[in-house]
Amino acid sequence: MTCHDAREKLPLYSGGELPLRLKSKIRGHLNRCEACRVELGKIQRTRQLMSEAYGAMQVEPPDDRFWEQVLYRLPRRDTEDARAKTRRAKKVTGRLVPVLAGLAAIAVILVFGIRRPGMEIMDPITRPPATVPLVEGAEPGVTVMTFQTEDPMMTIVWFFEDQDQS
Amino acid sequence: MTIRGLPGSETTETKEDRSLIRSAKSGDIQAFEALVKKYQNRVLALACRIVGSREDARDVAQDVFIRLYRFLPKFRNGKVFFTWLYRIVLNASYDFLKKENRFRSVPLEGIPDIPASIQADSTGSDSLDKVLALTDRLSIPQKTALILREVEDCTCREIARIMECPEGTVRSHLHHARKHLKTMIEKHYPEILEGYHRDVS
Repeated sequence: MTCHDAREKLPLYSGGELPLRLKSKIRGHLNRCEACRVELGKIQRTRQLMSEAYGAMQVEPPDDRFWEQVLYRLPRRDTEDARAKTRRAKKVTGRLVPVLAGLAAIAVILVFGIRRPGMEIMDPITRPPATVPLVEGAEPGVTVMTFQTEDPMMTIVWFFEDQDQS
Repeated sequence: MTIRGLPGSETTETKEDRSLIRSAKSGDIQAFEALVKKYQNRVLALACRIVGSREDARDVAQDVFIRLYRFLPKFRNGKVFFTWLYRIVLNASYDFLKKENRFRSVPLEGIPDIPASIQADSTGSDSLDKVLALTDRLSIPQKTALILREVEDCTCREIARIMECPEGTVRSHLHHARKHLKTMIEKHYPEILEGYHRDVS
């Protein structure tokens, strides 16, 4: 093991965080190398100082007011429960809305999009108007328009009195 | 008062603790009060070490216990309570630092800002203040890992649980933190490290 390899491992070696096999290799190197021992000493001193510095940090233990302040700021459990329920409801709604929208779209397509044979919708604009009086009893000068509905048994008949005749 | 961490903390959870946690989970406010009073010193100490100020640490600690109250029903039995609580402390502290624009994920380079009163004298407890100031130059994850390991006496496995990262990442943080801190001390205050290498056997 070279000094470079050993020094790369020294920070973890000093904290005892290396695997046993690697630890013994470095120990062997340290026994032979004074410069690496110096380096390890610096790391250990750094750790010691850091530990002392934070350990000596004076932290006043909290007084009774600390708990009172915490208690004052605590959310009510029932409020929390209500919030949780609302969150759950929103989650469920959020999942249901796209499903319901999809179902509605399918329903619309089924009702209006698919035309079954024999159920054609008659369009009065494109259908040529019947100008010949087809209806029995219609008088001359009266235009009669007939429309065939979906029901073959039902026909709509419109009577128009011709303006020219008057 | 000096507050140390939780040595061998994984085994310090007693039956009494578990009973308190169970009662507090079910809404017993007295059990929750007992839980707060049991852990408030440790929470305050860790928060103080992370955010670096006693006054701010008090606010963070209150925030921690409010979060604890909210999330306690989600705590699963069988998990280690203190690592879970420390995770909340870290989250609350990080949120505070982010709010104050003091959260760093990479170490700061250059000469740290050391108060003039500390620069004037380089002996005694001022060395510790200098080390504290230099530690503040580390990235937040490195500083956190170092505090949990060196001050709170946590194992790498516990730190990994607290920081929610692999153990390898914890070792990497520790490696870089120690190396970086030593380099900074050597560069700015070499007298602090002088004369100690001879103690190493």
